[in-house]
Amino acid sequence: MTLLAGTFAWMAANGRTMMELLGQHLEMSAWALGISLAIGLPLAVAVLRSPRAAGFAIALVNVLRTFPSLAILAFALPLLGIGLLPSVVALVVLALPPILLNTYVGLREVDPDLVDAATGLGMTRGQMLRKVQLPLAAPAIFGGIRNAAVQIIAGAALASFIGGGGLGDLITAGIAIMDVQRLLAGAIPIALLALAVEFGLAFVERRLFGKRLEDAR
Amino acid sequence: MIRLEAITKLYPGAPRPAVDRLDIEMAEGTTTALIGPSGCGKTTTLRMINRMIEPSGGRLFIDGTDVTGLDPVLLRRRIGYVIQQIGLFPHQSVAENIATVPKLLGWPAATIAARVEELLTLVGLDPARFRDAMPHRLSGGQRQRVGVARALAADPPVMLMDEPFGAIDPIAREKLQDEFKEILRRVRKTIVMVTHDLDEAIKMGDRIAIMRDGRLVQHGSPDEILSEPADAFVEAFVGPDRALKRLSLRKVDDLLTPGEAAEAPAIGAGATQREALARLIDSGAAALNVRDAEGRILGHIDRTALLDRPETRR
Ligand SMILES: Nc1ncnc2c1ncn2[C@@H]1O[C@H](COP(=O)(O)OP(=O)(O)O)[C@@H](O)[C@H]1O
Ligand SMILES: [Mg+2]
Repeated sequence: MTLLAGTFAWMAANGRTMMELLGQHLEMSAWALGISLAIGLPLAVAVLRSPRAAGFAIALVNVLRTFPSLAILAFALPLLGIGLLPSVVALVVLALPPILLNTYVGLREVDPDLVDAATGLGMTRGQMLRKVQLPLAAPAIFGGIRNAAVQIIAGAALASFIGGGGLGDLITAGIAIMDVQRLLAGAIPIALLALAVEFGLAFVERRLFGKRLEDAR
Repeated sequence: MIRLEAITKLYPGAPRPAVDRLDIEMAEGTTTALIGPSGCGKTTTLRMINRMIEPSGGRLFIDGTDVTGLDPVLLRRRIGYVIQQIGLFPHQSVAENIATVPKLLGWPAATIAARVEELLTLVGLDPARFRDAMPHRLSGGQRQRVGVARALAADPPVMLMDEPFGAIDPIAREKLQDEFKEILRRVRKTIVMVTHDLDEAIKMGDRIAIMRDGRLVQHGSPDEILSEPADAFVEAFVGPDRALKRLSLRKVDDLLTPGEAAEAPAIGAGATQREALARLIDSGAAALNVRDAEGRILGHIDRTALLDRPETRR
C-alpha cells in the first residue's frame, strides 16, 4: 500500500515529466497506427483479387510478427539510428498483421452473390469497394484496428531502449536505479492506457456495428 | 431486341465449349424462357448478354448495336439483372437498394425518391411500410420483389433474370409468378429468363428456347414446343403429358358453344381448358356451362370438343 501511495506521490511531484512522457507515448502510438493503416488497408485491397499475392503478403507480415519486438528494435537501431523513427517502425511491424489480416478476411468474406449483383448492376470495381465491400467488412476492419492499437500502446513501452521516449523511459530508469516507485509510475499508466483503448474501442465498435451483428444472426 | 450470332464460350481448360455457336433472336417486348438441363449453358448465355462473361467468339446485338465493343460497366446499367440469390445489399434499406443504378447514373435525389415510390407500388409493396425496411426483415418473395424493382429502377430496355423464383418457397412461387407476369407485361421489356422448370417456362415465356450441351435445340412459342417437339430430346424434355400442358395454355372461351347445357356443372370464363377437363373427369358430366364473373351463362363446352380438337390429336 505504501508502495502505491509512494508511486502516486512521485507521479504528483513529477507532473510535468509525466505529461511529457505520456505525450511522447501517444504521439509515437498515433504515428505507428496511422502508418499501419496507410500500409495495411491499401495492401489488403491490392491483394484481394490475387490469392497468391494475398498468401504471400499475409505470410510475410506473420513472419515479421514472430520476431520479438526487442529483436526488431535491435535490428532497427543500426539501420535507422535512435529516436522516434526506429521505434515507430518497430511498432508498425507489430500492428500491421492484425490490420492487414482482418481487412483482407473481412473483404474476402463479403457474400459473392452481392459482388455478382453489384457487378450486374453496373458498378465499377472502385464503386463496389466503396459501396459494398468496405461497408460490409467494416466490423472486421475495426476489430483489427482495436487489436493493433492495444498492441502498439503496450509495445511502445519498449521504445525507451532505443531512445524513442514515452512512458517506457520511467520503467527503464526505474530498473537501472532500482527505484520501484518510478518503475510503477511508468508501468501503471501504460497498463491503464491499454485497457482504456481496448474497452473504449470495444464500446465504439458495439455502438457502430452492434445492431448489424445482431441482425445478421 | 437481342440478337446473338454464333455466340461461343469456351472456359479455359474445358474440353468443349459451354455455349457453342448459339444463334438466337429475341423480339422487342417479349419474354424468352431459356430452359434446359442443368449445366447446358443457360447461365453462361445469359451472362454473356451483359458481358459478365466475355464470349470467346461470336457477336451480340442489342437494339441493332453490336455491344461486344462497348464498355461493359455502362452496358450493364442499361440492362436489368435479377438473380436467384437476389443479392440485396444487407447494409442498405429497401429504398437504397432500389436506388442503386439511378445513383450510379447521377439522377437528382428527388427524381430517385419518386422513382422508388413508383417501383415499390409497381411490385406490390406499400412504400410507407417498406421504403426504410432492411432486407433481412423481408420474406423471400418480398426480397425478390425488391430485387426486380432494383433491376427496373433506371428503366432498362432489357432484363436478364436467372432463375428468379429459385429461392422462393413453392407455396409462394406460383402467386409470385402470376404477379411478375403481370408486372413484366406492364413494363414491356425484352426479357430473357433462365429456368429449369418447364411449367414456369410455359407460364412466363412468350417464347421458349430449349438448350442442350451448349446448343439451341428448339426455339418457338410454348404451343409450338408442346405440339411439335423438334427431336426426341425435346419430346422427352417436355414429357408425356405435353397434351395436358397445351390445354393449360388455352382458355375455355375458345371452345364455347352457344346455349346452356342441361344438368351440367359450371366453370368460370377465365379457366383453362385443362381445368375444364379436370372438372369433366371429376363430375362425369358430358358438358360444362361457362359463366362470367356475374354468374351469367355465356354458353357451354362439350367433352367431345375438348378431346377431339384437331390440334390435340397426334
Ligand atoms: N466459371 C466457369 N469456369 C469453368 N466452367 C464453367 C464456369 N461456369 C460454368 N462452367 C461450366 O459450363 C457449363 C455450363 O454452365 P452454366 O452456364 O452455369 O449452366 P446452366 O446455367 O445451364 O446450369 C457447365 O458444364 C459448367 O460446369
Ligand atoms: Mg444456371
